[in-house]
Amino acid sequence: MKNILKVTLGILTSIGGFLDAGAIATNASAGANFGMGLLWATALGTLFAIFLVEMSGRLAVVSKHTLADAMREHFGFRYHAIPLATELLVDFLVLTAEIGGACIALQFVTGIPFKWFALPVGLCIWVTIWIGSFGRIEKATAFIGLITICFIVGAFRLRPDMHAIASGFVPHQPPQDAAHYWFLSVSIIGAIITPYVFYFYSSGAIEEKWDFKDLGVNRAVAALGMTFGCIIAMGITVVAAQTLQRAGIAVDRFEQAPLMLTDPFGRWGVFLFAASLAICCFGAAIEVALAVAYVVGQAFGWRWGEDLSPKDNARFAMTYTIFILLAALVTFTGIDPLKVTMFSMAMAVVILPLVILPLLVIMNDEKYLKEQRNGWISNTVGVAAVVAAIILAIVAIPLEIIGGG
Amino acid sequence: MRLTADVLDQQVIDCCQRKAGKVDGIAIEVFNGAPPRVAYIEIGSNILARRVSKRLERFVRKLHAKSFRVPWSAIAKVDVSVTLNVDAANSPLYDVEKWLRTHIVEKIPFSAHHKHQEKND
Repeated sequence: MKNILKVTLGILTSIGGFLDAGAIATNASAGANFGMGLLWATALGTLFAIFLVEMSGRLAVVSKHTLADAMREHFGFRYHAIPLATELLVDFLVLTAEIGGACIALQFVTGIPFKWFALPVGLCIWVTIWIGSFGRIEKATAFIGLITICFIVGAFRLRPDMHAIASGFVPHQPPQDAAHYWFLSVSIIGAIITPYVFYFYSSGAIEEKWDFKDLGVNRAVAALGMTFGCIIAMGITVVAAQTLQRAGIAVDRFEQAPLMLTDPFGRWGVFLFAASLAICCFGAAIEVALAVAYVVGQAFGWRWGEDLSPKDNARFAMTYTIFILLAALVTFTGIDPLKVTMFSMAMAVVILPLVILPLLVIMNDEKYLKEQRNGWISNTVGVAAVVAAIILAIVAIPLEIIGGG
Repeated sequence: MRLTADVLDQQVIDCCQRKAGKVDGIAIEVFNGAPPRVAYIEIGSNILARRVSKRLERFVRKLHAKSFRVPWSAIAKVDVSVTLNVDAANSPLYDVEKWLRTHIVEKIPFSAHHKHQEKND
């Protein structure tokens, strides 16, 4: 019974972790521009995410090392400094994007320009982390996050063409806008396998004191949580395809996105969209801010943990405090949150190989995993993910330039 | 035991189960005629910076970062982490932590409140 509860909570949390500003923006944009044509990218990203998340959880359970600990120990600090520094830059962009997304959601509802929400939203995120414990934050965001099911309900209400959905699982290069199509496919995958997720997940497993008994829970949570997240993300694509694409609206500003839920839900649509966006961004912002404090704390061997009071780990607490403050200030300048989101997803893809290649090497090291080393299935998917990540990292910047606009 | 694989970059835990940095450097003494001997491990951002680049080391040095040397004899055990039999609370490792705690964190409300901890089965 306890395990079922653990798995349920884990699934709800992973749905929250899966959906963030990046996932919503990229999937909505995919539906609006290419209909069902990019569903394969969401599915492929999810497959990679399931295996990589399971690996980072297993690493923590078996070796009692987080990904950051193991990376520094196995590859030495000279290597670790590179993923560490780039991770902090990308996390900063992602945090700015999430704060911006939450602010835009508030703009939809109130009509007040988003930048005025930047500092209050940043403050709410900070207060939640400062006061909350890991378990409480996890539960609260998990249950409120269920509101995103509205995208699945919406998708069904719109009676989409099932053949079109099925054909979306195979990549077809469209006759025009090929660069934009491939740019979006890179961004969708980047939004799903954002590197902070692995650092966060392995730290979370230590925070929750998972042990060998929980290896099954870890596997179930990774597989089911990511799958449910993927289904909701696909719901976003389908709804956007049925509404925005038909109306000829390409999501090039966040303001156009809530229109997609007014067809299935009437005037409540805007509120549902705003609430989903706000909650997903808020939850993701907490995860990114904590992930930053985790990776810095673990790189230097500080005391770290969300369940300690800030007084007992002052450096950890100041790390997320400063990050949240700076990201909120950047949002306050009025920089377009959608642009920041798309750019941060592309940058996340660029640094992805630096994180998952070492992860794969560590997952095959007897010193850390003992008998729980990767089997051939995990290694096959892992190698495919690394190869895909390297290709994506190489094409991300050229595609951002030619297909990003 | 292999020094670079099993000791360097490992988490350090002091005698009070406190996380106390990572093994940032290892010093080896070589005397004429005698076999080389590990003298101490070093923990500190200046030592770490030296491993990345000269320029970074100069920069960190300007911040007056101090390192903490632990003689090899004060190491209790080496397994998943390196456990010391000395207390790190009064070492330079905790200078920044203490400064932040007294000058900033403690001045913010709820900094000392006991977070509700989930019971684990």
